[in-house]
Amino acid sequence: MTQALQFKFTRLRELHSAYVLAAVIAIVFLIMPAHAKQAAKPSEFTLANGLRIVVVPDHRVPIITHMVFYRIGSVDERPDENGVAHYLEHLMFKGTPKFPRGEFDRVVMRGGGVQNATTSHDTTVYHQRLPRRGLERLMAMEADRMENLVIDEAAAATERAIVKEEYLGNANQPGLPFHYATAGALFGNHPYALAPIGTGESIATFDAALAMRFYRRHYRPSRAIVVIGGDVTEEDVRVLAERTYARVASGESDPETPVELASAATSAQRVVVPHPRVSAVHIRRSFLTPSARAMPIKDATALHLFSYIVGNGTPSRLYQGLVVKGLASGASGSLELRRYAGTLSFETTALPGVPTETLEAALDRILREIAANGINEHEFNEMKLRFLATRVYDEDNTLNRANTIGHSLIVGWSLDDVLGFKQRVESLTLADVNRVGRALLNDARTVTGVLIPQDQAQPGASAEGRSVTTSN
Amino acid sequence: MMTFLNRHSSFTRLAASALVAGGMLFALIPGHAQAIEPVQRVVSPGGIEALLIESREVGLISFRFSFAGGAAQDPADRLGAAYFAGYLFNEGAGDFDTNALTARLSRIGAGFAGDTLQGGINVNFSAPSAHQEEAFKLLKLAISAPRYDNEPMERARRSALASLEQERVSPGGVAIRRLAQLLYGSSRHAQPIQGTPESLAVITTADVKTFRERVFARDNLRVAVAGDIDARALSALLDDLFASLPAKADLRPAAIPDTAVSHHEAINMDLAQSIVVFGSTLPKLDAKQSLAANVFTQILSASFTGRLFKIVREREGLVYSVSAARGVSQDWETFWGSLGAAPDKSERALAMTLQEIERLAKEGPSPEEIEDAKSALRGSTYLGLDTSSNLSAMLLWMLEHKQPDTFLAEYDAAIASITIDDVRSASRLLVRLDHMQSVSVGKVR
Repeated sequence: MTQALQFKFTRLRELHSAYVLAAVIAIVFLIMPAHAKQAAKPSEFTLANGLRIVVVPDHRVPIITHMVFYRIGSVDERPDENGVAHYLEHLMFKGTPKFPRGEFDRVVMRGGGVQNATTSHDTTVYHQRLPRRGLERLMAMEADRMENLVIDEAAAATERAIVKEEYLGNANQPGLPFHYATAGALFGNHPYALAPIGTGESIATFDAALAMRFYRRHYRPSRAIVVIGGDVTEEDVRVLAERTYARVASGESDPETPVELASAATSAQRVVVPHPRVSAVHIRRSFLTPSARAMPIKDATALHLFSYIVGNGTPSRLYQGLVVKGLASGASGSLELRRYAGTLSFETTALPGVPTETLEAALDRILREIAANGINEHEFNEMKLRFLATRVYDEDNTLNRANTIGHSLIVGWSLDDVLGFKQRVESLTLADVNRVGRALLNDARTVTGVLIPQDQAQPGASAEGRSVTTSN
Repeated sequence: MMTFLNRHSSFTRLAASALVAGGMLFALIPGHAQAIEPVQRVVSPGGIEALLIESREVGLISFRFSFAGGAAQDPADRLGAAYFAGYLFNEGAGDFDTNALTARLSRIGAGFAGDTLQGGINVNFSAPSAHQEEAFKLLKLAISAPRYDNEPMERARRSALASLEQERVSPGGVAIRRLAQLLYGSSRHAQPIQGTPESLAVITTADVKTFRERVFARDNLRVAVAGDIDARALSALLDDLFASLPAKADLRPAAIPDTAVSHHEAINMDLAQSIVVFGSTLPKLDAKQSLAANVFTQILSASFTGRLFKIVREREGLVYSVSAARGVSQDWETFWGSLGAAPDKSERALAMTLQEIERLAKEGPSPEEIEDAKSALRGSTYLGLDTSSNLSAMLLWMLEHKQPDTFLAEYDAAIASITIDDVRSASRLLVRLDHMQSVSVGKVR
């Protein structure tokens, strides 16, 4: 809850870190262990009530990471409920008849563990890390609050005040207005255009009844994927799951209704957002991709490698053309695959004194050149080698692996899709990568967001104000 | 993955660099290590020492080292020299300029980067063990023959100016910087690690070279290694890597901050939520006091269960975030905290936070709170030790804070021995409300 909002635009850190790394890349990739003495590879099974459980063994240290991913996010809210998925996430810590309020926190704390929860457009995630012996207790408590949550009015009121504070903390930062402007242009009336935190107005309407309605409508085993990483085997987890998660009633049939992307961008748009807490111009150009489910797996893999080649690290085109040339302090590319539509984004932060037009023209030139001619064979070979060589770091970090697997399954990939990623990258050719990359870069439906210091704004523009121009 | 390529300056990073001066969060300090490979002390034929945790499951080597004496060693008229020495560490060496060096490392999945703190310059290196020979050859080149080319020097300068500029408009940046000035007065710690606009305007690669020759040496070097390498291989490697460095560093004594009387400042900024930071300095606690102080801080500030969370956030609904922590440097430490609250509640939130801290220090915790906190500290043993990179970071922390090699093995017993009286007396040293400095940034009514 302390970082309850998983929201890539709200923290200034991303806006001026050297490589402007996106905080949420829905699909980051990992590989099969390469060594004989490594633990068994990740595996999954499904309980009779529809709950999927994935086990990611790692026996180096006697700890476990336990994550419950609900395929429930702000995208599942009705128009008058914006922010309730996140509000409910806070209230999920308020206890059940069996495990009263504070019990969960105390168990995690006494075990020396850590826990948190995040809500994004696509998913709500509850996660804990604990010494191994605490696993069954955690599973029992998570299973219990999947169906037995109690919300009293007093807790609902306190938590509404806390969520409001969280909203105000976000509102201090340029990320929130920048998100509204750019996501509005990209996604139109789709809930992706809203922010998971909600608005000042919507938060004021929150109460116990509203949260409970949302809980009853969505929370059930078939909407959840549990990922358990660390010092356990699938057999261990099967035994524990029989005593815990398997006892949760399956609930009514899955009420998830697909949210169609109705009014996405149809042409190139440019959105300027002035803000007093910005010291340097920040530009992000986003291209719409199909949803993770709708995109052929090979294309998604190729697009990921494409964004890596164009925008990751010092050898990349963007770094060389913008940072080394003295125009920007950072530049990056990221692919975000999601349940209903994804984005490929390239972004860069100007150095002080570099005019917006100069940086934007340079970014344009680089992307136009790639759209016309593609990436070349030398950079393809070098960057592919680099990408494959660094996969060993994923093996070293079970927390990241569990997180990546959970997010990937939420957006519609299978476990095999995730585990086969490295192999698919190995088999990609330059032509594969250029085919998908160039097609997207030549797609006219782009949104360019430009975040500028308030004092560079045209007269009359306010921090909240935005100007939208359309061009082709 | 590859975090060593990332130089960012988030609020916490900034707070860490401004207030924690080489410290490590207490939550990461581990305990009973029976399931982890033992800590080995490796001494090379040439006399260079390192701590090693050998772990063969993943084919990676995480190799960290640091030179005591970071930004605090900057000459007064060249603030930022240490920052450049850290930034330029991986920007070209020998015949390879930045791009050539990066390309060579990239291809084999290896990388390294320098990071400058107030108390030291840290280098974080990792490589797949399959490619260690070439990776270490490139590291050796960076240690012995850095290039300090003009392009990366100017890029580092621009990056420093950009981050100073961003600090100036960021609420957290403004708050932490002002608090650092109030706490550390005329000492180097009051200024940004990157230097000031004035010093950045005049600093040259010659200044960076001079700094490096003074501070990069074998007697202030600490080496910490974890992963797929054994003691014999490491021992030979140490002499090879560091042979080119001078035997002795020329370190100047760094000023210890004075203790000022309690003072509050409000800085006006049009914000939806006010940011408040507070802190005071104190003489460095000894090993036992330090553990007792960690128990105290755990009771006070653990998320969800700490007193501050329960009272100021849950009972009163005054804040979204509230926390307190220790920042430990070489010779002294800082007890500090922060909160975020609505403008009309921030004064009350600060008063209540300080009052709860004082109450806990004066009255002491309940026996149950002590047991819970000790259980939490013991249990959190492995949470910070799950990757090669975390393991080597822990070893480096042990070296920097002069902990015995048995620290991990004995941690459990040491925590178990902490009594309620230990916590009381440590908290009396830690909490000095009469010296508390505080800064709020937000709408001033």
